Amino acid sequence: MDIQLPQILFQLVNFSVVLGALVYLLYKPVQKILDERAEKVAESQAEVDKIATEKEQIEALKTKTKRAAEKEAAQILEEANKEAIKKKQKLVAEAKSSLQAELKKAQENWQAERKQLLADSQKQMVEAVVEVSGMVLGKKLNKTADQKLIGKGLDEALKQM
Amino acid sequence: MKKITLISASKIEPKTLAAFKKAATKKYGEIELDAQVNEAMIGGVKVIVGSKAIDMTVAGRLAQVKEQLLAQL
Amino acid sequence: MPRKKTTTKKTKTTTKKAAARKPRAAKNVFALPSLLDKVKLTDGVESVGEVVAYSDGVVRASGLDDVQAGEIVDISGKKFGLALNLEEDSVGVVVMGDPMGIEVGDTVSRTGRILSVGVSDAVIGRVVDSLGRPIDGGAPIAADKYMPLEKVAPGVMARQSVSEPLQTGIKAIDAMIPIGRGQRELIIGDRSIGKTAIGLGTILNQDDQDVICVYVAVGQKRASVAQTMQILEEHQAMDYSIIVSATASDSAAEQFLAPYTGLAIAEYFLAKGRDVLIIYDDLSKHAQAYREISLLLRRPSGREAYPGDVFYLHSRLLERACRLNKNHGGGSITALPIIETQANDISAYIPTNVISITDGQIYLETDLFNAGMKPAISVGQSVSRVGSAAQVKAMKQVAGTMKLDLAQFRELQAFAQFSSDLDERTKRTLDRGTRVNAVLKQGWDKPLSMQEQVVVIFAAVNGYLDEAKEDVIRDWEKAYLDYMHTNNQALLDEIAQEKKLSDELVEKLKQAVSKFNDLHPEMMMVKEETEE
Repeated sequence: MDIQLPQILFQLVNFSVVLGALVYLLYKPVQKILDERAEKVAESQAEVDKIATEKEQIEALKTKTKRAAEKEAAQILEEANKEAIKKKQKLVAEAKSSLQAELKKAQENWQAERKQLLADSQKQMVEAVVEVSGMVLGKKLNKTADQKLIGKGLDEALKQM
Repeated sequence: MKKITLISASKIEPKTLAAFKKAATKKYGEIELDAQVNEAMIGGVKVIVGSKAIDMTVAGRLAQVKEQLLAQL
Repeated sequence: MPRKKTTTKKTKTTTKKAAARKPRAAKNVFALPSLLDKVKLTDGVESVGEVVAYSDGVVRASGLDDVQAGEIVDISGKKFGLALNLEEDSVGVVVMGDPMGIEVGDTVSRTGRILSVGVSDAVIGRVVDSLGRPIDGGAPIAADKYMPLEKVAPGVMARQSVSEPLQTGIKAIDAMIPIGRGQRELIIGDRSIGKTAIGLGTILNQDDQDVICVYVAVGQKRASVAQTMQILEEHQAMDYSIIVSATASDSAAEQFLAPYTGLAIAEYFLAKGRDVLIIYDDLSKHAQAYREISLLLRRPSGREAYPGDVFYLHSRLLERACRLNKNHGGGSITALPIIETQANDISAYIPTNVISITDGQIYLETDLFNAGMKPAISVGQSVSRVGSAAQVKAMKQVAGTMKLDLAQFRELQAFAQFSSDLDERTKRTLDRGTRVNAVLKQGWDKPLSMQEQVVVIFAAVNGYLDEAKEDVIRDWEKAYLDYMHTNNQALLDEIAQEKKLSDELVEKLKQAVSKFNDLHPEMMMVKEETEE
């Protein structure tokens, strides 16, 4: 076998050149790409983390505002209740006073009715008395008295008419 | 001609009637006399001349009393 | 004459309740002797007549040489009559009440009284007939004063111009056709259109206005009058009202006199310096009753068979409604006569007569009524000659341009029915007009106070209703008023007190309305989403 040293050296140089080229042209870019990808992954991960924290913050704000609104609602409800109680008391008082007014009116009605009955009976008495007087006078008036009365009446008539 | 109506409870004596007729004729001229008898008058006389009347009957006075008493109640 | 003396029972008064029971005085109940002392017998000449003929409620009497026109005469103690026709040899007497029992030959005598009615404060809350006698089954009314039915109207120097508003509680009237105290405003329209409802609604609104109300029912059904009385009692309106009733079955003379009786009662309170509202329901039937009497009295008839003085009949009635100046007490009588037209014809004889007498009219239209607009007030044809002089400043501020806006809306409405493509501005005017119109609808027995009207109209004319759905305007109004009463009662009280809207009040109102709208999104129209 003829091992020729220059050929081995040439092969070695050849090999190292190819290796160097490979490293330079393949390995580095690939590494770069891998690095970039890792960077991107890291970036997105950071964003996700950021969004997660923001979400938490929003949730916290939501619960805070919800609690504040509930508190306000409860306050309004309490005030409304107080108003309702006040109004109820006013209505009860009004109902009481109107009842008293009704009682007074009923009493006045009854008194007026009594007065009316009294007046009615008095009127009946007057009519009865006048009727009786008429009967009595008719019986008592005899002819001569009547003629005297008629004479007086005729004279008065001639005087006035 | 004036119409004079006399309403009384008992018949007027002819003497009184004639005297009245004479006096009335002197005052009004010719008159037409109508003497009516109405028991309800109880006593006295009501004289109606034309459309004017003067009520001197007992019934008339009783009616006045009744009206005034009732008006007071 | 022996009498039984009534003994007293003095009850022991211990508690407050028993104090109401007064101890009975030891009085001789039948105190005749003392009454007799006051009786005076007179022998005077009186004028008499005799019934010669009787036909259809008119009695012809001979004699009665010196009877006065319009005097009350006594027909042999049975009935009262009115001497209306003085002829050469007889007197025409119109009988009041039913004529049964009158015979030819009955004596007719003068009473010397021109027709008058006895009035006192006790007449408030009662129902009386044309002669002032109570017909509600209660006690007779003791008269404090006798007011004549026929009277000369107050002269020019005793009057004052109308400046105080009479709040009817109806938004359409108080905003655009305002009525003042002392004004005469005619309510005119066909049958069953809401004329009486406007009158009654006005009475219901006077509970805190210190106004006495007189309701004169001429020629109506008794059932209607009973219903009216029931309604007024339910709303506690009888505490300040009086009803004068001459129903369809009463004689023509009673129907003819009823408005004058009501007016005489009103004048009693006017003389005391009070404000009175009188409603004549209705004057058409009154004119018909007068026509009946005149034809029976053989008076010459004129247009539509009405007698020649039918104008004077109503003018002398309405001229007595006035506002008096301070020297004469400062009271006022506001008259709301009602006239019924036939087929919307306001150019008939009686309607034109009364329109020329009154200070304006409220015209109710059948078309509006059938279209669902209640009260069916035609804003274009109704007018109030007193106008804004009788309007509260707050109301003037909010309703100032409403009449004009509604007129423009009506014009556009007719136009919009035929065209489908409308420009933005027309659409907006139509929307606003529809909502303002819807706000004017009102239940007849739901009067609104002045401050409630102001806030509702404020919301409508300033566009706060534009976002609301059209068919919920009534509910909106109700909820809005409830909200204002519970949350902003102070605002309402301020408007009632100040009677005008200051700038800060306007601001507060705006905020209140916006807040209310935000709280009720279910009544608002959904706004279209323009962005995603």
